[in-house]
This record gives sequence, structure tokens and C-alpha cells, in this order.
Amino acid sequence: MSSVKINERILEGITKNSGGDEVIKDFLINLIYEEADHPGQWWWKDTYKKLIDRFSADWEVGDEN
Amino acid sequence: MRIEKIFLRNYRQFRQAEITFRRRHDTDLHFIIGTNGTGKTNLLNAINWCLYGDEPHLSKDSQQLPLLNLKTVDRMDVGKENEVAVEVWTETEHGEYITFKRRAVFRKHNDRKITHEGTKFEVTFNDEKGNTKIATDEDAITWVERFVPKGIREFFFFDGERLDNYFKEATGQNIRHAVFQISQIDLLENCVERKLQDTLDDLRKEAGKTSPKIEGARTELEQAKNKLDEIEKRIKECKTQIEVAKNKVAEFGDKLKGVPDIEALEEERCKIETSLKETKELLGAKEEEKKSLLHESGSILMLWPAIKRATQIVEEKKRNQEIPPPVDKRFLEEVLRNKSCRVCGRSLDDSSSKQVQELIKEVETSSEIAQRLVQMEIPLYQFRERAGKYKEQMEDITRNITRYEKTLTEITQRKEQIDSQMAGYDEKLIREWYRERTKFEDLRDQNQRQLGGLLVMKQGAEGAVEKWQKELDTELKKEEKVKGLTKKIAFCERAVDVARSTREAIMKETRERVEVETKRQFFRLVWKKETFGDIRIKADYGIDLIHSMGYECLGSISAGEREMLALSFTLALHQASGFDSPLLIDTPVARISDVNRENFAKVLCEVSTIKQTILLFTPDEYSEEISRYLGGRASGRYSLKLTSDENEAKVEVR
Amino acid sequence: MAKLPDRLDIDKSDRKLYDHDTITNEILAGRTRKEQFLFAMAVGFKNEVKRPLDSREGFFLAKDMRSEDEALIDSVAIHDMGSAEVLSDRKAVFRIAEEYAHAGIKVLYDEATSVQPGSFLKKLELELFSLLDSLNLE
Repeated sequence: MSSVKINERILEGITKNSGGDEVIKDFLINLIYEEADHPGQWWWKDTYKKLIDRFSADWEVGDEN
Repeated sequence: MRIEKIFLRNYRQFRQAEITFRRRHDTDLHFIIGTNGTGKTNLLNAINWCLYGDEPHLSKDSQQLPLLNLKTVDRMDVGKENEVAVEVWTETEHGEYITFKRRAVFRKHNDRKITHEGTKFEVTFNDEKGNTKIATDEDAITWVERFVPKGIREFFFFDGERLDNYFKEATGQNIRHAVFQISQIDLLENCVERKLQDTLDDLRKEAGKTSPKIEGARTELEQAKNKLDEIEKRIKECKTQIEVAKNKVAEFGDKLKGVPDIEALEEERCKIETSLKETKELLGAKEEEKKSLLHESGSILMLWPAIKRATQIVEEKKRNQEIPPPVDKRFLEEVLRNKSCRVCGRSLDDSSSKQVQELIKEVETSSEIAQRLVQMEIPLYQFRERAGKYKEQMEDITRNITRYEKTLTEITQRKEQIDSQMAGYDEKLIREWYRERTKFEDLRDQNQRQLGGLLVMKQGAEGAVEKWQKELDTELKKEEKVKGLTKKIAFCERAVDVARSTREAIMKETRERVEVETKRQFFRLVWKKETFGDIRIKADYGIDLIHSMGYECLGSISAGEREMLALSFTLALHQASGFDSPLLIDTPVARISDVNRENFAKVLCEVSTIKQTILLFTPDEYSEEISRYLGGRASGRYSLKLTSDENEAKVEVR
Repeated sequence: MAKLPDRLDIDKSDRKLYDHDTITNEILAGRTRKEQFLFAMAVGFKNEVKRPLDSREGFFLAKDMRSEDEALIDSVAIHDMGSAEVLSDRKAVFRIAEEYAHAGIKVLYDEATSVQPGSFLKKLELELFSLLDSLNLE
């Protein structure tokens, strides 16, 4: 579990602006936690690509409400 | 996140000290009481030194002393090393510890000099698997920035006695940047949006490689986006210029408030001078006219009895046909000369000649008188006319003189009014202000026109982006091979949109919340509630404190009021950021009068129910009002005392 | 016929009165010698005072008088002597005028030096209005 707390408003904002698209929401929240857990320089490209591959596989265009 | 423990070894007065801040009550409130010199402010310095490597609150005395505790220095052997250590143990909401540790090594030389041999800073934390990790260097600094960013540390580690620098160093862009950090908006902005965008560009490039049309559309899209970015940048600059110009117009407008329009007044004064001159001339002419009338008609009126008598005589003589004279003297002279009568033709004898001579003598006298009287007739008539008209003429002149005098008075009064209005003003400076204001008004208008154009261009650029986006999407859809990529691209685009929308909403909301909360706290704390009208937090997080009369008054408030505002702003930042780093205040009520300390205590007590609050008091500050309110509510109470040799401070639980 | 007088005289002592600041700058400001003389004569007549001249000096030429001016001094002479016969004696006419002027300039001088500057004309204006009411101009 991430040791860093994420500002609740960010999590709420992502949820709201996703418009019901759970995949996008979960994806972004995962990204946020990755960023929070890796302050400073880190090799982010691989992590981003893996997350994109994983989440986009379950996503369809027009998944938002 | 809260501070669980502070550990100090050989740091200044503190040879070995550990302060634990356990939460025991509803409030997470702790206070430490110590007189000046016992290390109260050095506790604050210790935390700063541990986290940031500096000591911003060092007194002049302490600046002369080494970091290493003096007693330790004394007891050290020459050539030996010892270390200064400060550890700040923090606890997250999930009950995990993040520990910030700084150690500095010092060596003692045979001349009793101490040299610094190096410093280490590290942050210890648990990863997602629960393993203990140590971060150093840049990574460690990033952990510090997540805890309490250096840029706004004075909002968390609050020095009640150094308010002069408040709102100077931590203002505007610094605050904005730091607010973004502590509210983690930067996570969205720099990290998620930027990195996602980079990834998206990579995906598009990859897609582009499989098809030239896709590549072409992608390139066009990239160019369109660059152009849009450029326009947006120019729009931002334009808006800044407009804001600056508006502020300057307002600034000069404020300066010119109540100041007369010098140019208009001067113009009016010039006209008045001309009018004054003309009126004086007219008045002068009328007065001369009056003098002449007085003189001429005056003589006539004064001589009126004589004029009247002479008139009567003339009229009588006329009635009696004595004038004009009946006998023409010249006729008689001719008769005498010719010695013959011109009427009957008879010659004159001696007797007749003598008669004619006597007649001539007689006529001579009466003729001269008659002649005089005849000559007087017309003037006497004119005197009567002029005497008759005198009153009317004099009244007319007097009316005109009165009118001119009245006009003169009015003009002179207006001139004096203008002079009075302009007195005391530096006309050159005021003209300069008018010029500057006009200059900035022109700049504002020019930029607004430019902004209008740019907004239109932006629409066009957005249209182009949309067009090439559609083009690219169409091409991507066509291409079987890139179907997978297309989906990922669409996915990323959607994620970027969501991240961007979230960022914008939070930015706006955060600033508004800071403003509302600052106002709320301030008007709770401040005692002169009618004096202040409003508080505004600008887009760049600069603060405006508005007097109830409508003008900005941040620069002129008292130290106590500034502390109230700073505290209100801090509490607002804490609350609006959604980040719960602790609040530590050194000398919290030094500038606040006794009457208002209770107010202050109430607010801090309330704050400590949601956030760890650590207060460092002097005994004078810890007055009856404070202790009455806070004493029973504190989770921890400590005292600082120096040992008898004054080289070591001890922490005691109260 | 006796030689006609060619000038009108003032008493020598009157010169300085005619030249006094208040007389020249205010009361008789901008007036010719003839006009000054005739005004002084009118003041003397109004105040019913005339004085023989002790010493004489010419003030202005008789030929400078217009018919109006002559009409004034003739009227004064007629009034003084009670009949128009005096008109045949120019010397007498001039003498009467001179005597009234001699007294009149003294009255003017006394007035001028006893009141506030600018007040004489104001006083004259009021006196003339009051005189106007008492005169029967018809």
C-alpha cells in the first residue's frame, strides 16, 4: 500500500470528471499513486505503458456515462 | 501526517533530548514553555535544519556559536569527531512512519577550533510491500517537499516574531507553486498530464510509422497543437499585461482620487484671467463715463438757477422780439459811411449823421447783449436736455457698474477657488500621474484588442487541432494494424482530458476555498471587525486586505493584525489543500494583547482537533487567559530548562 | 471799445490747489484747465461763495471756450447781476466767473482733503441726486 496520502479532492475530482468511466478512473488513480510513491526521477515510461496496456484492454470508447 | 517524535543529539543547547507528541485527547495540541535562551526557538531551528539544512530563526548570539553542543565540544578530545543529529519522526494516516534524519560530523582541533566534516540526510520509509527503504539526495528532498515544502514552510513552522518577512518571501508565485505541491495539483499537472501526454505522443508516432497518411495527419496535428500552445501562451501573456495595466490604472486612479484635474483647472483659470481683464476694462470705462457725466452734468446742475434765469431772459426777449436785434448795426454803419439812407435814398446831413451815430451806439450795446443771448439759446436748450437725461443716464451707468462689479466678484471668487484647489499639489507630479494613467489605459486597451484577436486565432487553431485530430482518428480507424494502438491513443487522450479537467477544477476550488477560509478565520480572530471589509486571494495567491473604505491596506496594519492574517491564511492553506501537515508556532501571542489571546486560544484549540498543533510559548505568553483555555485541552505539555552551567537544555514534562 | 479780456485768471494762490493730487487724480482727473475752472466756478456758485482775486495769473485762454462754456459763464454773470446788461461787459462777466472759481476751488480742496479717497465723487453723486429732486427742471 502506498505510504503517501493523496489529496482526497484529487481522487474525488478524477472520479467526477471520469463521468462514470471506472477504467479511466482506476487508471488515473493508479498513476497518481505511482507518482506519489516515486518522487523525483524514476523510469516511468515502462510503468505508464504497462498500465496503459492493462487498463486500455478493458476499456471501450464511450465507456463514460 | 503528524510529528510523532523529535530527537536531538548535540544540537546546540540540546545534548540529548527527545520530545514525543502523543495524541491523548480530542485535540492534538502540544505546547512547550521556555524562557528566552532555553532553546525554544532552536527547537524550531532544529526541525528546519533537519528537513532543509538551514536555521532561519537563529538569534545573533547563536549565530556565533557552533552547531555542536558546547558541553560536548568541551568534553571532546582533540582530533576526535562527534556528530550533531536531529531526527523528525512522522506518522502517516495509515500509521506508518517516515523519518527524516540529518547528521553532521564535527572534528575538534588542538586550537579548540571545530570544523565541519560532512552532513548526511536521509529519509526512511516503508514501500508498498512494507519493506524499509532509505531515500537520499534528491529523493530525500522530494520526501521533504511532500511533507512540508520549503517554499511555504513558514506557513507550517510559524515564527510569531518574524512577521516582517511574512507576505514578502512567501508570496505570489511561490505560494501558488507550493500550494500546488502540498495539494498535489503538481502531481496532476507535471506528472500525470505531462507524462501521459508524452506517452500519447509516442503512441501516435508509433502509429504514424505504420502509415504515411497517419504520419502526415499526426505531423499536422502536432503542428496545429504547437500553434495552439503558442497562441495560448500569448493569450496568457496578454492577460498578464492587461492585469498589470489594470492594476497600474487603478494605482494611479487611487493616487488621483480627490486630486483636481490640473489641466482642466489651468485652462479654466486662463479663461478667467482673460474674462477678468475684459471685465475690469469694461468697468474702468464705465467708471470713467460716470466721472465724465458727474463732471459735465454736475456743473450744469450746480449752475441750474443761473441757467434757468438766463433761459427765462432769452425767452422773454424773444417774446418781446428784442432778439434777434431789430436794427442791424451794419446797416447803420453803411448808411453813415455812404452818408445816404439805403431805404429812402436821402442824403444825410450833419444832424441826421449824428442821429445815426447815436443810434449806432445805442444799437451797439443792445446788439451785443442780444447777440450774446442769441448765442446762448442753443446751449441753454442743450443744458436743459442734458439735465433732464442725467438721472436716467446715471442710473444706467450705475446698473452697468454694479453688474460688472458682481461679475468681477464672481470671477475672482472662482479664481480663488481654483487657486485653492491647486494649492499644495505638485502640478508636475500630478500631470505625470495623468500621463502614466493614460499610458497604462492605452496599454490595457491595446492588449485587450490583441486579446480579442488572439481569442479568434485560438478558435481557429482549436478548429485546426480538431480537424487534424479527426483526420488522424479516421486514418487510424482505417488501418487494421493500428487498431490496438488507436484504442490506446483514445484511452490516453481521454485520461489526459480527465486529468486536465480535474486539475483546473481543483486549482479554482483551492484558491476559492483559501479565500473563503482566510476570511472566515480572520474575521473570527481580529478585534477591529468594522475596520476591514474583505480579503481577496489573487490568481497568483497574492493577498489583498481591503479596508472597509475600499482601499488595499495590507501594508498599514499592525503587527498583531498581520499575525492574525498570516495565521488565517495558513489555516486556510492547510484546510483547502487537503493536506494535514502539522502546524508549529513559535511565540504565538507575543504581539497579541491579553484581551484577544483568548480568542486566539479558541481558534487554535479548534484547529488542533483536526491537525497536530505545537505551540512554543514564553512564560509571559502562557498567560492566565491562555492557560485557562488551553491548559486542560493539551495532549502534551513540556518545559525547557537550562542546566546550571547553561550549556545544556533539558526537556521536562509538565 | 475797451479791449476784450483774452484769458481767464485765477488767484496765484489757487495754482497749488488746482495741482493738488486729490484734485488732479480724482475730482478733476483728466480735465483741461478750462474744465477745471468751470467746475470750480460751479462749486462756488452752488455754495453761494465768491471771492475777489488778490493776485492774478492767467489760467486758460478765452478763445478756448466753446459756446456752451460761454453760455455757462454768461448765465452765472446774469444771475449775479440780476440782468442781461452785464453781458456787454466781458471783463465783468469774466471777473464774476473768476471770483466764483476762486471760492469754489477752495471748497473743493477742503472737501478733497477731508474725506476718504474716492469718497468725494460718491458724495457729489448723492448731492446731485438730492439737488435734482429739489430743482424744478421744467
